[in-house]
Amino acid sequence: MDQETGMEHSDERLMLEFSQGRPEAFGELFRRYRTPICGFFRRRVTDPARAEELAQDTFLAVVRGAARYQPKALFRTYLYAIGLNILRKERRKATIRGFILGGQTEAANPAARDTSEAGLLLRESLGKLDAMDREVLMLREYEQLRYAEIADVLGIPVNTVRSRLFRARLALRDLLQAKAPQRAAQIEART
Amino acid sequence: MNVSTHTVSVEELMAWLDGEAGDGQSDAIAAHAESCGECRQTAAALRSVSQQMAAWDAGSPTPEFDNRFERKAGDRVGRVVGKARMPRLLPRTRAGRWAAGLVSAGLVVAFLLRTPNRQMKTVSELRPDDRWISTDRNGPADRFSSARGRDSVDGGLASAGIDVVNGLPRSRAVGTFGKLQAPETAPAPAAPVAAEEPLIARTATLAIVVKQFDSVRASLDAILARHRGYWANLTVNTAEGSARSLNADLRIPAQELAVALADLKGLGQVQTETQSGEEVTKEHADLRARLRNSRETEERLRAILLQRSGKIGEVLAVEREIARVRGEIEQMEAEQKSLEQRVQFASIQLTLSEEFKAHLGSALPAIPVRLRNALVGGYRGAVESLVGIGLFAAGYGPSLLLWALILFFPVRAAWRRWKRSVAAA
Repeated sequence: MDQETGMEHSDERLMLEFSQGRPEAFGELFRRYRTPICGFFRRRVTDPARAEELAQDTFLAVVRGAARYQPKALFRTYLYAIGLNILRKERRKATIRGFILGGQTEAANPAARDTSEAGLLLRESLGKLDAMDREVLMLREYEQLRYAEIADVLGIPVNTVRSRLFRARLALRDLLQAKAPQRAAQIEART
Repeated sequence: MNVSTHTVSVEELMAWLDGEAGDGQSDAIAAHAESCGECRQTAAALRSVSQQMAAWDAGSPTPEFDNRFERKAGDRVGRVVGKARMPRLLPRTRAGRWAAGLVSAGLVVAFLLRTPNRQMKTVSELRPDDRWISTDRNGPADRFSSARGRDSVDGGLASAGIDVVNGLPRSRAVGTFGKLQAPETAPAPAAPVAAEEPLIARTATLAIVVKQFDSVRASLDAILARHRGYWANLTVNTAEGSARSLNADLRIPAQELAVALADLKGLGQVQTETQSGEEVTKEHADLRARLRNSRETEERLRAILLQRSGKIGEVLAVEREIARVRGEIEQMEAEQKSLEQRVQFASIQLTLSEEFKAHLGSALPAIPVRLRNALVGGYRGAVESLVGIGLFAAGYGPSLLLWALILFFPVRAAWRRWKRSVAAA
């Protein structure tokens, strides 16, 4: 925050200041995005501890790339693009690990791995969506990215984002409606 | 027929709910959503999905998150200040990166396709002053391409007793060169060439397509007469229904080669042309030394024979030895002459092909025969292709694999760097 004017600096300005040698600017960015980035990985990776490590890696990548940073896009787009790259790398490693060691890959279905009761139906349904549709939907609903930002992060056209998002929402609605009675029956049987 | 009355699409409706509708569209979509029951239901469903998704709370980072990150980052955050930027390995623009990639790939391919110990280059690959490629790597490759080089040859011939005029030996005689029958205009092998100068045996191949095949033989004879050359071998193929061709092995005085080639190229359109040179200096010097030794041996044997001091058996033995040495001398003299002949007369492998024009009157082979020939040709082509693929894999596979291993990590690093720059953009 600008102490003289009382106005908050934009993310891009903070990142520029950090790239020009003001570590406090990064501290502010870290404060702003630590929770969203942790949430980004927690919703996509099975192990919460691993999710935090990946979130830390994301911020580390921002630090490493600060000298080359150019404000061509919004900082949060830049940040989530880094996060998505790290996530892809993690999934690739998990796939290779699963291929070599056998068994299931823990990151293959990241949205359907939480064992808590609350929202389990939602996570199971999300896990059944097409991977790209799910990513578009989650970036919109949880990271609150705009359509153009999602398009930038995923490298797809905005119209594709729009159509995939609509498709994902309707598919999720159908899955939730179909699973709700089954879930209620399971809970009843347990009680 | 069911006609849609919606003035907005469901995706536009969704965009409006997400606050992504354009400024001019928002009011229209809101009005439609208010009035259209079906769209109200769709909007409600979409809102419901968003509300259900919002139930998934990922929570906050653990209290150790900040400390762990600080430990991980160390002093990196502070070191961003004044950090010397690494020089960019790749160009900044996409076109530049593509160009750099193509150049690198070209260099790798050129390296892989480089033929070791290459002794012959096609003319198109040669520089103007690099026409003559000596196989002796220690000697200057283009010595004979310059005027100085030509002068040195003339000087060498002159010092060897050959009357040289404008780069050509003046004395001519009818002679037999090995198995080749030379016409009367062909020059005889000259006196031994001076061994001090490098001796280059030059060869060239030329394939030309001519329009007027009937007159080409006369033109060829005229060119040979003009340059005082001759043909060592001549084959004319006049098969019916196909283009006629003439294959000739020509001998042209080495100094006349360039001009003669230019004249020959004037006969038609050049398809291929190659030139090469082989240095035979060492071979010639070795032959001369062995010849001198044998002649001295012969003289000593003749001196022994003149004394006649031994028994008749010993005299006969000396005569047999003289005959053997004489045979060796004659054989070496023939070799020397042949070698000098190769140096003095360049060899041109000439192929003249007619520009074929099919005639309607020509009888075509029967269709079954043509079909069979086509099948045989196709089969051979397929086998040749398979063999070619196998040979390529055997010849270049290990090198390609090695280069793939060497280039994998740099290319991957460059690719990641590119992806990062794209993400940063």
